Formats: sequence, structure tokens, C-alpha cells
Amino acid sequence: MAGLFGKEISELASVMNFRLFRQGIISSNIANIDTPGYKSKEATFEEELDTRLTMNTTSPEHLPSAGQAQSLTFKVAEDPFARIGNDSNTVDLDREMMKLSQNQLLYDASADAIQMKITALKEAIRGIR
Amino acid sequence: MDLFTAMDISASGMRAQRTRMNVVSSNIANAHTTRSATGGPYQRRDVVFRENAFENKLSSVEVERIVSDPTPGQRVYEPGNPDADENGYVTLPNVNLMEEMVNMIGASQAFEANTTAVKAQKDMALKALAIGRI
Repeated sequence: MAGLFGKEISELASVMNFRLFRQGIISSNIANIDTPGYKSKEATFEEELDTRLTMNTTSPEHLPSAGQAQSLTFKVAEDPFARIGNDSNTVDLDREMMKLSQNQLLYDASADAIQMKITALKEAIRGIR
Repeated sequence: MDLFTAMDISASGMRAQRTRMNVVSSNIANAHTTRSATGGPYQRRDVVFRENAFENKLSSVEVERIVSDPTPGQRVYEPGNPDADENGYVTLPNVNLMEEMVNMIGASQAFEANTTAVKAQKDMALKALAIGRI
């Protein structure tokens, strides 16, 4: 999505998408808190974002670029910080609840950022009175 | 994964914990039942949870089965009881109230954790719906 909306909104939308997916992973962990042998999972995209936000520069004179907007892919792996309970289940409820609210806040932050973009566009169209 | 997948997952967790709570309740209610449907004293039951993995490593939970605990129950001397054996001993159910209470609190807390997750997902959905509203 280019032109009027720029790539920020679509970037933010894919971040929201990721947050929604991560919420699903956290919910899976919470739902499986008493499942014997269940391994806690964690979704990450940060590394992917880092590689995307830096473009190759072939000359020191080149300005760093913000990269291209494309759909965000994320990884799901076993949570490396998990502790093991006595039924070999690795879900830590306190950590999951913390991740749940953290993830929700970051989702809200992206939604607010999109909202601000749209408000700014509307202001620009209407003109400041 | 759509907006409601996470809610479905949490709902499966709530359903599983509620089943566990029902099983705990029936264990407590039958803590002194010496005549069960299968004959003999009541045997305490336990739920077995199973991970139900679907798309993209998301997984809900389901109750695979409800198993009976075959541990022998306590025997008490009660010669007047119609279920006493020839020596006057009655075999009581193998229900341990402490154990059931611990199970009950565990189920209740896990249920609450799932409801908190549902609330978070609902708030997120509302936030997404509010985009563009001025």
C-alpha cells in the first residue's frame, strides 16, 4: 500500500497481525497450563524486523533506508526461559500473564499509531481551521 | 488465524478446567459413597488433558478422557454398615479431600487465567474496531 497511506500503516498493520498471533500463542500456553508434557511456546519477529529495516549499502555515502513493506513472517519456538514443572510442563503462569498484558499494550500502541496517522491525514485533507 | 482464534483457544482452556472442576466436585460429593454404579466403593476420577495442535503451532486443549484411580481406599472398622465384609471392615472410596481441594484451587486459578486472556482479546478486538473512528 503506497501513495496516500504510505508504508507506515501497512507496516503497523503487520505488527498488529503479529501481536494478534502472539496473543494466540500466549493463549495456547495458558490453555495448556495443566497439559502433561506441553512445552511453552514463544513467537518472535524482532530479528526479522531488524534484517528488514536495514538495507544493504554498497557505499559509505549511501543513506540507510527503511526497507520495503512486505508481509511479516514470524517464528514460533519453544520458550527458552521456560522452567520445568513436575509433569514436564513448562508453562509459567506468571510469565504468561505478564506477556499477555505486555502484548496487549503493544497491540494497542500500534492501533493508536495507525489512528494517529489517519487523524493526521484527515487533518491534512480538511485543513486546520 | 483470525480475530477469534485466540478466544476459541481460551474457551477450550475454560471448558477443560470446568470439566476438571466437575470431576473434583463429583469426587468430593462421593467421598463416602460405598456403592458405586460398578459395584464396590466409589473410585476417585481424574481428567487427562491433551494438547490439540492446529495451524501455526497454536494449540487448544481438550479433555482426552476421565480415568478412574485404582488405588485401594482406606478400610475402617464399622461392623454395623451394610457394606462391611465378614470381618466388619468397610472399604471407603480412595478420595483424599486435601488432594481434591488442591485440584479445585488449581482448576479455579487456571480458569481465571483463561478468562483474563479472553478479556484481553476482547479489548484488543475493540481497539482494532476503533481505528478510523474520530
